[in-house]
Amino acid sequence: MASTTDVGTTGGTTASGRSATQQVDRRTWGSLPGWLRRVILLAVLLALWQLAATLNETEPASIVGPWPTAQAFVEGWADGDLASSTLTTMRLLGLSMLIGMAVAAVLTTFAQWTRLGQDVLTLLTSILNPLPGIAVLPFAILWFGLSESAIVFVVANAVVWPIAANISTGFRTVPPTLTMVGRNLGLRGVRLVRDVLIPAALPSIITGLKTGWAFGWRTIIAAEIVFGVSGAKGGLGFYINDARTFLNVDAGFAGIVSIAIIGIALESAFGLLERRTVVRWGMKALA
Amino acid sequence: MSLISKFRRSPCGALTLVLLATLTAACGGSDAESTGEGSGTAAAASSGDKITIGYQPGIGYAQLLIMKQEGWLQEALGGRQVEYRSLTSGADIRDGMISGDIQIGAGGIGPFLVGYDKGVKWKLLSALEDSDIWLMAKDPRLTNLEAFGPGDKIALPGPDSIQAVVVKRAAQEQLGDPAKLDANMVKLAHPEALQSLLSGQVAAHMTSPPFQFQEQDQGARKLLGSADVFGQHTFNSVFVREEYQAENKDVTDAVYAQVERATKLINDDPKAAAAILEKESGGQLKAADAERYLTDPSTTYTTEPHGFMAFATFMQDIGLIENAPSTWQDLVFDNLKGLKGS
Amino acid sequence: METVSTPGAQATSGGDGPLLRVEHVGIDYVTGGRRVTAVGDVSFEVRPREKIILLGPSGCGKSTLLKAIAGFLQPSAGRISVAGRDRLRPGPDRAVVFQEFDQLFPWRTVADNVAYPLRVTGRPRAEAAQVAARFVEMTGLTPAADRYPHQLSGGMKQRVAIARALALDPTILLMDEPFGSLDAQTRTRLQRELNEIVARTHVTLLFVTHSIQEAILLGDRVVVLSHSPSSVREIVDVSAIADPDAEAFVHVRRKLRGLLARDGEEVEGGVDD
Repeated sequence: MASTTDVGTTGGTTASGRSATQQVDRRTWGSLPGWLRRVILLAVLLALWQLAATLNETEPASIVGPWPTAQAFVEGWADGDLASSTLTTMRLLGLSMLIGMAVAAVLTTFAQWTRLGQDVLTLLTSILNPLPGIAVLPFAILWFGLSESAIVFVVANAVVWPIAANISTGFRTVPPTLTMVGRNLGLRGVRLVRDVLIPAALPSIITGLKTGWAFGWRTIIAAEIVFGVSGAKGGLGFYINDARTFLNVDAGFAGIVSIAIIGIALESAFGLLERRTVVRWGMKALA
Repeated sequence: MSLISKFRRSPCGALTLVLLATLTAACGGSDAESTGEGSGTAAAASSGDKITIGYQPGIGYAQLLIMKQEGWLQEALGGRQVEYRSLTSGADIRDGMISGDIQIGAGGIGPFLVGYDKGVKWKLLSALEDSDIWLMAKDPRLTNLEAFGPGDKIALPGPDSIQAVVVKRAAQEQLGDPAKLDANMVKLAHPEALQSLLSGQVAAHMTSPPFQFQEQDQGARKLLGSADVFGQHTFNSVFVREEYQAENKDVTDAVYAQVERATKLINDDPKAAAAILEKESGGQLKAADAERYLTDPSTTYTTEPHGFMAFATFMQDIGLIENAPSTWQDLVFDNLKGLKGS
Repeated sequence: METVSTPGAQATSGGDGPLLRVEHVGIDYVTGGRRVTAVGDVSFEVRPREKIILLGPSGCGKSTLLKAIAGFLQPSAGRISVAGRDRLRPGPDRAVVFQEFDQLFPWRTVADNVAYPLRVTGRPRAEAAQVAARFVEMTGLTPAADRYPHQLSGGMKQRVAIARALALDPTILLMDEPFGSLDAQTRTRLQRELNEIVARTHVTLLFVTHSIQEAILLGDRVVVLSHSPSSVREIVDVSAIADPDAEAFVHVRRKLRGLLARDGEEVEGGVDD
């Protein structure tokens, strides 16, 4: 946090004469403890949210404030609606991630061992990685019907390319010396991959999974909004859309808050994983 | 001032602003999504003289299509700008009306009653027709609702749609649980649902005219009609916000008058009405088909509202809405109060 | 040195015959579609417990030769045999210490970096840990045993690499300019330590360097290579010379510099380091 404040003040310093006041500014804001600064910003954010809700003039309200949202959030989780939606989304996302990782593993293995495989992977990732995952949904529906399979296909497709691209990059950028050390010990094949290449490529692998998860998370919510299975089996995207359909703006906001919280939680989980592994091992600087 | 500029320049401040922008975008999202325009109040203020009529695809909006093709409303209002906008769901139209982009909305009973329940201050300006809407299926295995397995999808326009309410009512009557088929329901606009039914992607389609006729022509069977569970009832109607009606009585009167005129044309001279509909569709809908649809006994074009209380009571019973009107007259403007509604 | 064998006397690889034989080895490689000869025609032998230095100008192919001995690449001509075996694949009997600091496993602690290769070569976990601890101690790393490589200085990293290689009890220890990236002081200290450790473990050493000083300090014999495509210019015995200030040291240094300078190049790092 201290360094971000630094960047801010540096950006503001245009003339040297102003640096003195900047220093004072920095002491007043930057000297506050990090948690307090975050709490203050969060409070400001909530106040602005409340303001937006208060100024909202539509009838019924199309923006609800933090308090009704909190109530709907508690209610949604208490009666199990939000929980079951979250479960559905996470189940589909988990399945898609597994499929994505398996396909990525096969592709990168080919890319690692054969020149053709590498060319194929490069071509596919350069075409499909920038493609928003949701773009293939209409065809997924055509191929798989209006089923969970269509969603899983779309999300797996969104997930596989960043994972494959990152793993492949990770393997290719393993220091040659390290590979030689492994071979020097007599390691070959699967054992060399498992004991040397995978740990050495771990920063890229984690980055790939993190990017894959982020892509997948966005895609699955979007896909669920486009077509949700009605009733109890819909995911979080469906929950939001359903809330909107029935004008339950507070429930919709609670859904959005849930999505944000899960996003933050999983992001933190990856952060923790990185701190425990690659950051601890000095293979990646702390973000 | 320097504090604000610093706030805006510092990454934390910028982050807050971005978050705020995201937040407001998310809040406005449901409105902006359907209409492609800015946030509600601004659009309401700027819409000025223009009248936007929101409807959905289908022969169930025949009066509006005729008015659109013939320019009757512009004519009646002395050349005021009138825009007809086709949307894919009742919720889209409702949200457009809340945000102020749409002044005159048309749609099924479901979204209208959901809006009423949630405090949208709107009333019926006119019904459009009584219609028996059908549940269509192609697979010979599906002879009744009991035959539906978990994988047998039923396509319908939305969980709040009149089609969904009909399926729930039928599920209650025939399977003992209104939510029994909830997991089978899939949200699809009618044209896509028709394709999906014919290609076997969905097992059934709770549909509306003319799609039910088209599906019948192509080998699908009627499993159920809405009249079987709700009796004679309105399918689509035209609704307006009370505030708008109070301030623009000339407009709403003109709309009602033109809807009545179109209804009369359909009933008195379906051939002429069908010809207009062919023109309106750019030739996609043949006049002969249009005439057949308009004169099919399953549909009666009338401005008199029917079945609103039956729907409202049932929707309240199963918890789709909390507030039901005590009489159908609470739901309509004065111009309809003298009719024999229900 | 206890070894009394002379080159050529032992055609077979008996008990104390040459451990490593490099016979008319040439190495080509293809780069940018062009075939380049890195090593022209090199022959020499290493006997048990000998410390042999490969000395040559940068780019003369001495590292390439070492990689061929380690089994990472196959010679295009000639024959390399270790303890009578040729057509070598990489193996822990020829443990290698590289110049690069990233040769350590970043995800393993110092102790683990030393112990892991032992487990790979089949030692039980407890025994591996025990042996590793001994070599960690020998290289003065015990206080850093639980640290990760990124927490170590360059000199310490190279010590770990040496400990790891020695712990494998190799037939011959191959070192590819291991001190080439260190500052002068650390380098001198590590040279001294390496001498002590080699004396204690009696390991056979093949050491690649372009530093004349290092060659004299560490080696018994120095194989002087010419510029690429390299051949053996001369094999110089430096076994008796250790004191850098002695006249013999100065003499040998001048001789080696003369041998290297015959290519008409500046001898880099040959004087002062």
